[in-house]
Order: sequence, then C-alpha cells, then structure tokens
Amino acid sequence: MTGEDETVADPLAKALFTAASLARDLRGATKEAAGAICFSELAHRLLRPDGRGADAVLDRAFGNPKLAPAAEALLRRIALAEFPAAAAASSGGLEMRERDSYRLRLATSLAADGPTYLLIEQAQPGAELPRLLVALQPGMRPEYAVLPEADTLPLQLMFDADAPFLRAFRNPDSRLFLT
Amino acid sequence: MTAGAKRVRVFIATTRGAVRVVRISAENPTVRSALCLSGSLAALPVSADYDSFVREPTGVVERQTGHPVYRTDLSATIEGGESWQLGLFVAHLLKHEDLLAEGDEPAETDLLVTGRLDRDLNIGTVDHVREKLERAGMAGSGRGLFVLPAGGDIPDSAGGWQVLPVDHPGQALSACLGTETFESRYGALRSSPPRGRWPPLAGKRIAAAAGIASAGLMAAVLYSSIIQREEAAPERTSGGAGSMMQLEIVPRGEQGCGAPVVVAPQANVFAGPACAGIVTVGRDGEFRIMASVSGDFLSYADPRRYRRELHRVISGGDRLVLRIDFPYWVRQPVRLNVDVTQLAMDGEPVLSAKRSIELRPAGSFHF
Repeated sequence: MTGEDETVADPLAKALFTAASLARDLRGATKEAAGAICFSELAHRLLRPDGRGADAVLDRAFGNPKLAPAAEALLRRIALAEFPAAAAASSGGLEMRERDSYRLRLATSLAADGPTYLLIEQAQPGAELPRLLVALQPGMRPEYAVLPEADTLPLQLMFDADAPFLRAFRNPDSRLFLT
Repeated sequence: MTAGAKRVRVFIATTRGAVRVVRISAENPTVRSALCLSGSLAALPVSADYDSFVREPTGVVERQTGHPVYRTDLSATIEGGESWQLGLFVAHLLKHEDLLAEGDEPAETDLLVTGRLDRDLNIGTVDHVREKLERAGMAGSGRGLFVLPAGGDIPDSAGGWQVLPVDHPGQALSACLGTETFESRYGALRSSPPRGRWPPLAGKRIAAAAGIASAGLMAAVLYSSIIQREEAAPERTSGGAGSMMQLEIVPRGEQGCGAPVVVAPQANVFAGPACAGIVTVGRDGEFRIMASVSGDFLSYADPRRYRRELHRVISGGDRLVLRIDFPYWVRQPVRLNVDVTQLAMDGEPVLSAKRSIELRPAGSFHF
C-alpha cells in the first residue's frame, strides 16, 4: 500500500480534504455571483421600490454597462409611461413633461429657501397610480424618486433646490419612466 | 415680530404625545398643502387630508386666511385621524396674524389642542382625550391650555394644562389672547360661518369644568360684545355707484396685512400691495354680493378661488360683509370687480351697484 493510498484511507484526512474543497468552491461561486442581479428582484424593485436595498439593486443594474441595456429594456416594458428626451424650450431646463396620461411638473416654493415641488398629475382619465420615477441621463448615474402611496393623483414630492434628481429631471437629454 | 404680540405655541394632542406646530409657510398656490416632519422634505401620510382641510371649497383655512396652500412643519408625525384639525386651524389663524410662536420663538401661552372641525367651524368630538393629556407631558410656558371639544369626554386639568372645553375655535383664541386682542385681530372670523350657525360660546360643560369659569366668562363677554357691535353698528353708505355698498381694501405692509382702508366712491385705482377687499352692505333686505379678482394670473391659477358670492337677508341693523383675498404673489395689476344686487321677495333684482378697482401692487411685496 502506498503512502497516497494510506492518506485516502485515513477518514479524517478525507473529511478535511472534502471540506476544504467545498469551501474553495463556495468562495468561488460567491465571488462570481456578487455582481449578478436576479431578474425578478430587479422587476420587484422597479414596481415596489420602497424597502431596504432598493436603491442598491437599481444602481447595480443601471450602473453596470453590461446589465444596463437589459435593465432599461425591462424598465421600458413595465413602465406606465415613458418620457423621452426632449429639446428644451429655452436655454433653461425642462420644468414640465407630459406623456400619455401623465404630466410631471416642477413648482418652486414661495419661500426663498423652500423646497422644489414635483407633481405627478393626471393628464387624461385612466391614469394608474405609479410608484417610482426613474430618470436616465446619458453617461450619468440614474436617479430615482420613490413616490408616496396614495389613493388618487396628483402625487407630490419635495426636493432640496439642488437635489440631483431635479438636475436629472431638467436635463433635456434625460429620459424618464414612471412605473 | 408684532410689537406687544402675545405669541402662542400650538401643540396637537395625540396618543403618542404632544406634536408641536413648528412652522407654517405659505406656499405656491399651484402645489398641494403638506404636513412635514420638521427638517424633512418627506410629506406625512395625512398630507392629502390636510390639503383638503386647507383648500376651498372643502377646506376652511383658505376661507379664513385667503391663501390656498401651506407647508406646515411638525415636531413629530401624525399618523392619521382628524383630531389634528382644530389645532391646525387655530395655528393657521394665529400665523395669519403673526401670533404663532414658530421655531425657537418664546411663547406666552402653550395651546394643546384636539378636536375635529367641520366646514361650518363646528367642533366634533374625538376619542382618547384623557390618554392624550397624560402623554402630553408638562406645559412648557407659564400658561398651558388644553383645548378640547366641549361635547366629549372632559378630563381634569393636569401637568400644568388647564382644561378648556370649547364649542368654537374663537373660544380658544379669545382664551389665550384675551378678548381685546381677539376682537381686534379676528373680527373677520365672525362673518365667516353661515348666518345663524354660531354656537353659543358658554355652555354647561365650561361652567362644570374646573378652572374654566374665567374662560367661560370671557367667552360670554365676547359673545355679547359681538351682538352689541352688530346691533349698534351705524349704516355705512357711500355715494354714486357704490351707494349700496362700502368697499375697503386691506393693504399689505411690512408687518403683513394692515387695517382696512375705505375706497372713495369715485376712486378706480388702488396703488400699493394689498391683502384683500372687503365689501359691506348695511341696508335691510335681501342682497347678493358677487366679487371677483381678474388678471393674467388666472391663466395659471384656479379662477374659482378668486370669485366669491354671498347671498343673505339682513335686518335689524346687521351688515352683510364679504371679504375676498388677492393673489399677493402677483406683481402685475389685477382688478377687483364687485356687484351688489338687492333682490325682491320673488328673487328678482330690484337695485344693483357695481364697482371695479384696479389694484397696482407697484412692485413692492412682503411675504
């Protein structure tokens, strides 16, 4: 009997070898799966964006050049309305966008240091209640606004005047999606 | 800050503790009123109900203050229900007269309030009154009043809070400001409810509650003074087209809305920022007053908010008073149009008078 045979025959050595091999396999699998996003999880976050980790999932999906096209395709498929990139009416940014049954409108506060309001209004009858507004800007991080739960439109959100979402909204090159 | 003003801090009594009204800000009329946690931009879930409570035709705040949208910061969340209505209404009235203690401003009186309020300013009862008082903690200022509906459960005074059951919001204001200040600041409140809907100000509950006798007496004095003023008020007339009516403009100054100024019958322009117009008819008979504010701003504002109508029979020396507020954020001239018609018993017009005044803000505004 060789020494190798003796090692194999040793039950303790065999168990240790098996455990080490399994641990190596698991480490590799975990590393490989770290960047992956489950398709159903992404869809869930787009439709029900409240809850922990929603931003992280959306960031990973839209921030990864390999995943972004698929994520955008999914977004387009489940969106209630898509607001395409638009030419600005003047040198300033867009303050209102309207598409299908929805109108998105910004309104400034009367107070000097007050918030900027975003209103999601019904432009035509039959508008469903959306839960998320996504702004996709070319070459920039996507911005999300989780909409408040309500029974009817309009919905209203408040932002600091310099909020990144407002910059994305006003950017004529941005495309917006309501889900 | 108004000189000599008695500032009041307002708390909403909830089963989770007292929630302070930290700040009230008039907002862009094209948005919705919102209740926010102080320092946060997240609207509380009751914001939709608050918007309905503020904005006409469903709301009562706009009717009193002339502005349809507010953002109100609270010290803690209010989950739901309607018991916040009376407290926020009182807070709005105080804010309108610059008497609400906001932020770190000191206060002479703390008001802890619970109660519902309907469109005719009738106060509705609420549940868990004792629990709300227990959880409110101690009154912070030298004087604390727990304002609650007179028609419901009334606990004993506790924690420095003197229990004050009320039938009408005016009682809470008169109790914390005094009759004189209430009279001078909130005279317009008297003319707002539909005729005959004023509830008696002193009730059995008030007399029965410990420590309430003085407030009840003050309310009774206030009520009688209102009656006397209405009965003793001389008929005010003006000549020309406005012979049936008197038109006054409430100017806007550094300290907010000022004392009404009578507009001469021949005048057709009012120069300077203005808060509101007041039309008064002092004759006996059935009258209809229609007032509206017109201008370019109506292309983006709801015209219904700038059109008011009052139709009543007046007798015994009473006066019919209609107040219409102006869009004070508008810098371009606007026009106030008033039409007063006296009606016969069959409802047909007998006499009519019209006035039209151009309001020129002259570029000077104070929010």
